[in-house]
Amino acid sequence: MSFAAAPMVPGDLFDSAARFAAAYDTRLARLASLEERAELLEEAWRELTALGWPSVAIPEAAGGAGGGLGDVAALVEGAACSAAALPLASVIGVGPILLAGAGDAGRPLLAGIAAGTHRVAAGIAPIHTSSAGSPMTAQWVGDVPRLSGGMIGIECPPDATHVLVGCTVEGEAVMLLLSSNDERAAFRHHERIDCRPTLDIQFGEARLLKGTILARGRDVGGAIERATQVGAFLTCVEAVAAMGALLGQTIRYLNERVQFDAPLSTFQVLRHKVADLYVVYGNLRAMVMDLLDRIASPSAWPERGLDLAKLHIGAASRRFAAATIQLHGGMGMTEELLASRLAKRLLMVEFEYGGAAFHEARLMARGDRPDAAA
Amino acid sequence: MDTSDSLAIDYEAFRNEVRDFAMTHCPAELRQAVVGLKKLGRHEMLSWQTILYANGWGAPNWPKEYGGTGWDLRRRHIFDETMAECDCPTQPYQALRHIAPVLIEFGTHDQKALYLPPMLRGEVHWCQGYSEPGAGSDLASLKTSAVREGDEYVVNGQKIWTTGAHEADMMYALVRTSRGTRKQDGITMLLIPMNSAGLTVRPIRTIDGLHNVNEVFFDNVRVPVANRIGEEGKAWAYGKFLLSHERLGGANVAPLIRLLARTRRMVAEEYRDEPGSSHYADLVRRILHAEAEIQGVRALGRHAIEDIVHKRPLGTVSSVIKLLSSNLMQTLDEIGLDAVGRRVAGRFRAVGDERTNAGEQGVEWLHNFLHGRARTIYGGSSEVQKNLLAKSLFGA
Repeated sequence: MSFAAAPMVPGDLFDSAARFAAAYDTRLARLASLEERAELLEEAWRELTALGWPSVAIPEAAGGAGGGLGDVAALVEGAACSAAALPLASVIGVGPILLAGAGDAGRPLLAGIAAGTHRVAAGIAPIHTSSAGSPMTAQWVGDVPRLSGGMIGIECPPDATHVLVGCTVEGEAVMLLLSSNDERAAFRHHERIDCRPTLDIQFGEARLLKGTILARGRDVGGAIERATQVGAFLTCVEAVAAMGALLGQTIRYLNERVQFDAPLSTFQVLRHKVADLYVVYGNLRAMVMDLLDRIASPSAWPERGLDLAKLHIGAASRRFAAATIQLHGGMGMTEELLASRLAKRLLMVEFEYGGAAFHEARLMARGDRPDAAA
Repeated sequence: MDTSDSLAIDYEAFRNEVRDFAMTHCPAELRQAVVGLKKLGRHEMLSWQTILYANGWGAPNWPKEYGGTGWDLRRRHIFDETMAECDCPTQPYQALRHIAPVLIEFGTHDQKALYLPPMLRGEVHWCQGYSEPGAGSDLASLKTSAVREGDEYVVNGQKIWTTGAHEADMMYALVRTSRGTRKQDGITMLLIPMNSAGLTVRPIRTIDGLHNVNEVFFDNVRVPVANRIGEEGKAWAYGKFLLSHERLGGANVAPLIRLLARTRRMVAEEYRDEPGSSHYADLVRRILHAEAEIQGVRALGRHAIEDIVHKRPLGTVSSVIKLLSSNLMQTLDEIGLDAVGRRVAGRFRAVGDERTNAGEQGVEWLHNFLHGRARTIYGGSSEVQKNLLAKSLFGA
């Protein structure tokens, strides 16, 4: 029997998400029109809301299920096996962690998310600010934040009701909440390379955003930092899940495809390339599982480990995607293949929650100090 | 053996005990040699072995009845990891970890009594006679013959790449005593004194310029039948037993972690006066990526040990660990080469001073790079490991 990836976080949540994502992926793959795809994603979001996924990581006191990061990871992993074009990690994982930094002020929003009445996109500076073009800057005008420039590529649930912005205004961490139709900002939607919906916000030259401050201060700063790291970690979870699924697809293809009168899987050079991919996958899978254990334990949060993982997994994902495209015959890799969608998901990994330069800078700033629990 | 009392064991206390012992009992000059990537030979290995033996830790992987510690797998792993973290020399692994488990499983009472105690005390140095000019990865093609004459075997042939043969007292060798339908049949294991008449050791100067390995020639070497392990012609099974016994040798990533730390320190020192250079930034970046990968392989090792403890199937993880560990060692070797190469590559050997471990400061990183090329060959080459993985992945 040939390879089948084993889940890192097995259980009902993983199984449920894997089935859900596979079913929608099949339907989404048939649609070329962006409008039709957006409609299908909206339907998918309604269904997953009915299943209670957005409330998984929200505390019971706020109407949520009171689950942990492991539960979010299970859902995210299951969905990533089919390269789900849904911003699960950012909306159900990162968003609630960011909102936790707002204390009581964030509670109504958390309750709204749990009840399914609020759909919140979470933007974090500097993750979603671009150094090119017009990066976002912020100043105080009295007690009112004045924002210039913009944020780009914020993962966005279908028909988002709000945008949460975690940023720094003159050195102070601030959490802003904008309605998705706030006229003081211009919103523009895109589809990412891996088909997920994203949002750009442009504040123009200098926009006073009165009434948008949800919270400010040290707790907000801590929440922004924690949300960034959780976003990076969940991206790693998705990357490993996508690699496992893509490896399975590639092996199946090589076993079935015949060239020179023999299955491709009988050629040693291809067998060794696949073995190389499996070694990369095995290493990253163990790394992510270890991080999940360390995150769940009461000992020190593995900051260095998370930065290292995200730094490495971005480049590794790109190489993995490129190698599997080659193994599938390169130019024969069409959009209708799940393998192509998994490969595109992997190509996106490098650019989420901090690229190589971002995490490298953090590691350099922290110096050569290992995590306490490593 | 691994599960019955494991709940009662305080593994962290054990780790501290090992660390304290290593730091207080391992001679500074030995640790310094390890830190400096110096070549270690018989004297260094055996002197450390005698110290461990005196503390009752001579054989971490042997059962108590033979003088071993009787430790469970977790403690053995902690011991290996901690010793490496403390820059202690490796124990004489060919004796303690390779031939001893085979002797314990398949040897006679007399053989165990004769050979095991001196190994434990660090009195006898062993080497392994497996590879031949025509039998490396394809070991079953070996041709060195042993013909029985009365109570002796007469051995003729050649072994090659024999690590430490020039310093060894004894060799455990695979020889061919017959030809069966499968080439794995008819292979026998003999224990051969290195001072036997007709046995010649010739040094091989390896790519690093040092004398690590040898050719060993057998010209009518007479070996008592009493020196045969187990049955005649059945040694392939003993080799497989050994592989299963040591299948997680690579799970100890402490040497990797130590090499990572040394590489990082060396690069920082080498570029102390040019911290803003692009070359330095590139080296640091590569070290970070290596550290990330080591984080993964360390977790793989831990998971694998737990799998063994809980009697879960291991699958192909030992191949994955071997590939990762050997590649990572080479990655770090390469970073070392890139860091010091511009300064010492042109001064590889000092004319007039050919002593081992002599030479320009930093030249050990060149030796390490060159010697380290073999990491992806010995212990099951990368190509063989990939064949094993592919067979499992493709189902055929």
